[in-house]
Amino acid sequence: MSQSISKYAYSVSGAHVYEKSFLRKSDIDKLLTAPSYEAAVAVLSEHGWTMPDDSRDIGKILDLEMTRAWSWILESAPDPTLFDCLIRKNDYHNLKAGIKSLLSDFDVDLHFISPSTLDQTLLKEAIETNHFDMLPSPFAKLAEEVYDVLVRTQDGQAADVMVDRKCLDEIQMMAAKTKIPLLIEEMELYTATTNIKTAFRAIRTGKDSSWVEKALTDRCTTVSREKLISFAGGKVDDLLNYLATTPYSAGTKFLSSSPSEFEKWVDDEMVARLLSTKNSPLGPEPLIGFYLGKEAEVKNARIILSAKQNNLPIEMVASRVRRLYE
Amino acid sequence: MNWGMLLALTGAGLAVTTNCIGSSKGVGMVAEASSPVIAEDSSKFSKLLILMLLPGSQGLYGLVIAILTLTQIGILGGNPVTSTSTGLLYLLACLPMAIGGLISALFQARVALTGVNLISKRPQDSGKAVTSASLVELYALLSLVTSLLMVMNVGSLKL
Repeated sequence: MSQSISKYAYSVSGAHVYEKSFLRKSDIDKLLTAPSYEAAVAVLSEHGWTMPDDSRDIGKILDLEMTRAWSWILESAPDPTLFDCLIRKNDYHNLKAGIKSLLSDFDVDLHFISPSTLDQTLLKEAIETNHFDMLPSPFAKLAEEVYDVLVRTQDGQAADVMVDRKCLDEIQMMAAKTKIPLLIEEMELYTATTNIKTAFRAIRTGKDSSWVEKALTDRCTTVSREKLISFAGGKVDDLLNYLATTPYSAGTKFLSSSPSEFEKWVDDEMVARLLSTKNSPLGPEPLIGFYLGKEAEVKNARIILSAKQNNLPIEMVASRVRRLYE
Repeated sequence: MNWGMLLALTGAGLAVTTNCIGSSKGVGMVAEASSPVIAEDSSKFSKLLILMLLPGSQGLYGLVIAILTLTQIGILGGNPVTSTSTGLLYLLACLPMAIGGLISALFQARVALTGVNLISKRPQDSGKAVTSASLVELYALLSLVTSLLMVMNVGSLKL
């Protein structure tokens, strides 16, 4: 038993105890059949979820829950930085949202999400004062570039492409550094399917190959970036024929009929790969399962609460509910 | 320098040291893993205590072999070891316990950790958790018996 994995005894056991409070299938059914948004919020509250002052603010409810789960990792894991790539995308989202909010005269932190590795107060100050050099690498340079693009061209999509590409590159790099096979596999699934979605949307919206080249990360090993770029400006069927030969063929068959069905497949696949770690007593893997399992649960809560707020029919929502970590 | 005595004492020392390392690490890990479960529900402490103690037995077995060796080599009794080859035989006799005990304590702790998880989720299955962890104990006992027989009979060998 290696010294490094035996250090996880406390954190893994604590995560398993925490997981007992995760929503089960029966809780999801309760949420779905709740007569109103308030009733659904009450179900979550009974389950120990912390409610903000304004319980109509879905984003805040979900942020609090994810922050609580992340705090457990920070408090208990022997080396919490190993798991940073799980929340790195939030930093990139916050950077993008902050600059866009500033340029639209909204509060910079209006659309910030938690948890994040980058200090949100620092990010807010850097954006408000236009002193991006206060930020750590790679955010300082990226923020300058994004701000410049938005001010010069007002092309929000170009800014999104820059940030998202950098985010995918960094996530893959961080996962590889950890040398944790499960994390590498999960991040590969995330980045590869993001590349696939981008290539698919690019064909649908008539983007050219240079745009696609900028948008796709070159760090994926399971899907050929060159092939995806070559389909730009072509037919969706050609892309789908190629994707049928990749490890993601089971999900990409949904792309042509319903991209949201593909997204559901990706989320379900992500959780399915975690299940082998559910009863592991040691090592970092159960903590990855714990956090991504919580993320799947929170995603379900978001879908159901949004539907309740907008009075959407149960049947429509039920088909979108993601696989649970149970 | 009496190399025979030195080797025999090394054997006794190894038997107790390696087993104590394995046991302390094993007990420590299971205790660490138990604390979040106890924090959630303190009534589970008694069930978890058995699991915490199980990897500790190897330390005691190592001590038994060490004391037995000392009673044979002239430290706590018996005839002092004078030849290098007899000392070497005592060292070899202690090795089954030294190695078997260390490894079995660590593996037993691993099984006990899964038991902690089981008790946390289904306390009614604590018997199964304890039984599973106890199975590994058999191999520590086999090491103990082997070392015991060897240490007791080394003195009667005519070299």
